[in-house]
Amino acid sequence: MKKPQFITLIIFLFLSAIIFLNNSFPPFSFLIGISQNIFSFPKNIIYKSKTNTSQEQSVIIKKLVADNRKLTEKLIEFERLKKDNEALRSQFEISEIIPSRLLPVKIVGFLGSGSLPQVLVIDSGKKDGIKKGMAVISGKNIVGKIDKVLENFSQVILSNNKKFSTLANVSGSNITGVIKGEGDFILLDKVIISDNLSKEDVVVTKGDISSEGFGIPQDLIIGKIKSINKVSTSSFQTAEIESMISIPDLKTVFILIN
Amino acid sequence: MTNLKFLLLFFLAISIIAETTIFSFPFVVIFSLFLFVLFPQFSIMAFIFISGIILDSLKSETVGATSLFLFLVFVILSIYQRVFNLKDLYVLLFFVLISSIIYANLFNYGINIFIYMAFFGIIFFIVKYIGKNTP
Repeated sequence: MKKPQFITLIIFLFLSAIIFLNNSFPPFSFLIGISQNIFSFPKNIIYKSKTNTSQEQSVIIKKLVADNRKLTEKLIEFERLKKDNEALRSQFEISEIIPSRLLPVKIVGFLGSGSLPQVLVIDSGKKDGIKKGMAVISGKNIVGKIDKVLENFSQVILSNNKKFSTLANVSGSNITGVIKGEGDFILLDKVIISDNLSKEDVVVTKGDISSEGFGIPQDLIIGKIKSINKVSTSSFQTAEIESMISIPDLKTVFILIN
Repeated sequence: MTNLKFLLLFFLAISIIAETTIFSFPFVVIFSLFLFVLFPQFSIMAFIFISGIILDSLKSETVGATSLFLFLVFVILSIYQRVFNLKDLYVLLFFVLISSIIYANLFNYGINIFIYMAFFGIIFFIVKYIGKNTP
């Protein structure tokens, strides 16, 4: 390669490094916002057509899946009301759900495999009040949490992403653990060996709210236990969790603002 | 060669939207590397730089990350070309394969080795076929 071309290469490398290190600099944020606005519409259209063509399940199966999800949500609600009832009776604690503001957002892209994405790109960002760490839900199910926020778009890391983790407990019991994304599946880890896990048990979030007032609230459905790994010589057992929502079919999700 | 240049530029432009919407595969990295090796001109480098910036903003990634990665790879590639006088297209293909796998691993693309092998196998076959039929 000729010397002038090599120097050009170094200049572009230097420019890239400057932009990389100064994303929040107002002129850069402004230009990023403009490019996102320009490409937002075609991305929306293309992603919508992709999700429409990927729906191969028959109508009956879809209805059954939706009914199953609704019944699980009702079960969680029932468990929450039962807990509230017991708490009011004991007068020790109140497990009320703090009213939250929900922001509907559209999914405009993804990263990872088509059938099991790791990251979703949504069409809301800083200008809509989105912040890193906010929970993203679909119905009463946790989808993931906000990881990166730009002017008009944000990244959502999904519950199977290796960067995702939160506290969890098994609905209807005192069994607690830690949910970790493992890429291909969701893992319920750090469950005490003496606790009795069962297949099809519903795992919900325990709650992880930051000092700023947002985060992952309690009683959001993570999924159902698919398989259990219990070794008697170990202090903890683990379980593989299967999510109850089909991420590739999602077009709109909701962000818990506070 | 001019037709090939415009074809690669066209595919690069399409990849910017397709990569984060339809296929999660580092097409931008692959087409950028081919463009850089075949047409190392200022205009091509500027196009690649802007493509990287736009791709990052559409992925909601830290803007500049893709361009930084690409130009780091270009610098390594140009140093390698100077030292070893790289002209073999198969070695270049191998370089592109490794760079795209590293990029996919760094930026949450999900690595399915079989898809990569199939994709580069097809490109290897095309290159070999074109090489046989070109006088």
